[in-house]
Amino acid sequence: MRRDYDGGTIGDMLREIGNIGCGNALNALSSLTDESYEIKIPEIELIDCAEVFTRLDGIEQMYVSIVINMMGDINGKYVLLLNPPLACSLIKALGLGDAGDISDIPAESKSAILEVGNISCGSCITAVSTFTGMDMNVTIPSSAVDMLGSVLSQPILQFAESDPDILYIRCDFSMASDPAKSGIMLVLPEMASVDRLIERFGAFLK
Amino acid sequence: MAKILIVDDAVFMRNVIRNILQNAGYTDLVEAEDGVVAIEKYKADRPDLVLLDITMPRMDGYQTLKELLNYDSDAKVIMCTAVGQQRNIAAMIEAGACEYIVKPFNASKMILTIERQLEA
Repeated sequence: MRRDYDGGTIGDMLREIGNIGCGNALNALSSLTDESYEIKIPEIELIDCAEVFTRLDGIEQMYVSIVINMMGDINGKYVLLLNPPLACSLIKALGLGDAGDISDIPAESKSAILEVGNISCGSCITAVSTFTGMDMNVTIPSSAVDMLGSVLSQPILQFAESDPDILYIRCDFSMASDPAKSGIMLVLPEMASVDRLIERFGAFLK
Repeated sequence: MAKILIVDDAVFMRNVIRNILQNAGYTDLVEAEDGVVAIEKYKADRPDLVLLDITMPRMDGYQTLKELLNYDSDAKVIMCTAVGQQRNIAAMIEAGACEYIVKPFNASKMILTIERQLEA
């Protein structure tokens, strides 16, 4: 049965961990690209993994995705979704010139996009690991350019193979100088990891 | 020992900060769950230092900082947030914050920052 932590101290803890993870990931992105980003307050809720698709608007819009598996004491997925204008802008900010057709980006630009995912995810998990004292590792990132529903299918449906309940942490962001350049960060730990966090912070949850 | 006002909308986070402060010997602590309550408690308790979260309901940290400094221009306020982009840090320091701690904070660094401000 799904647990509902909204409003309680456990909800506070999960929101704080989400804020710290997403905030630090965006801090890293900001340093990497020398740009400021507007960040919406992260949305944090326990949901069935299939609900991810219904919660995201524009499921048919094109996105560049970077997916990284989180492992260790906290298992789950880190997904960075960049709309094409933002992806092109990041590639340019990293000194690789105009990306051109985003669905057919050169290998060097693709490598830069993977690095953006690596650095933002690394910053996110370093911050969460420091805060929680829990051990976290990541896999090599993978990227795709496709409709939102397609890029999310494989990573999200992998949750359904075990426990479909996940912690949904979503942070929408956009470039401060041009709000049309936007992205979505999803941090999706498995429920067993949430249980470990509750155990870890038990003393502070009263 | 100095009196410290902890302002954060998350009970959990206030518990974590209180624990760090108590372990360092700070026991005279006041807590507030948003900016409006923080200003009331600042006026009533006159703390030596304020640890102020930025993203809060009713009144955010930036507005609270301005209100506190309006009331007491000598107020010592340390901002605590996960959003540590240079632009945000510059805005808070320009508005009068003493320091800016980016979460997750290391307990010993946090105490050093507090001690530095209390001695200033």
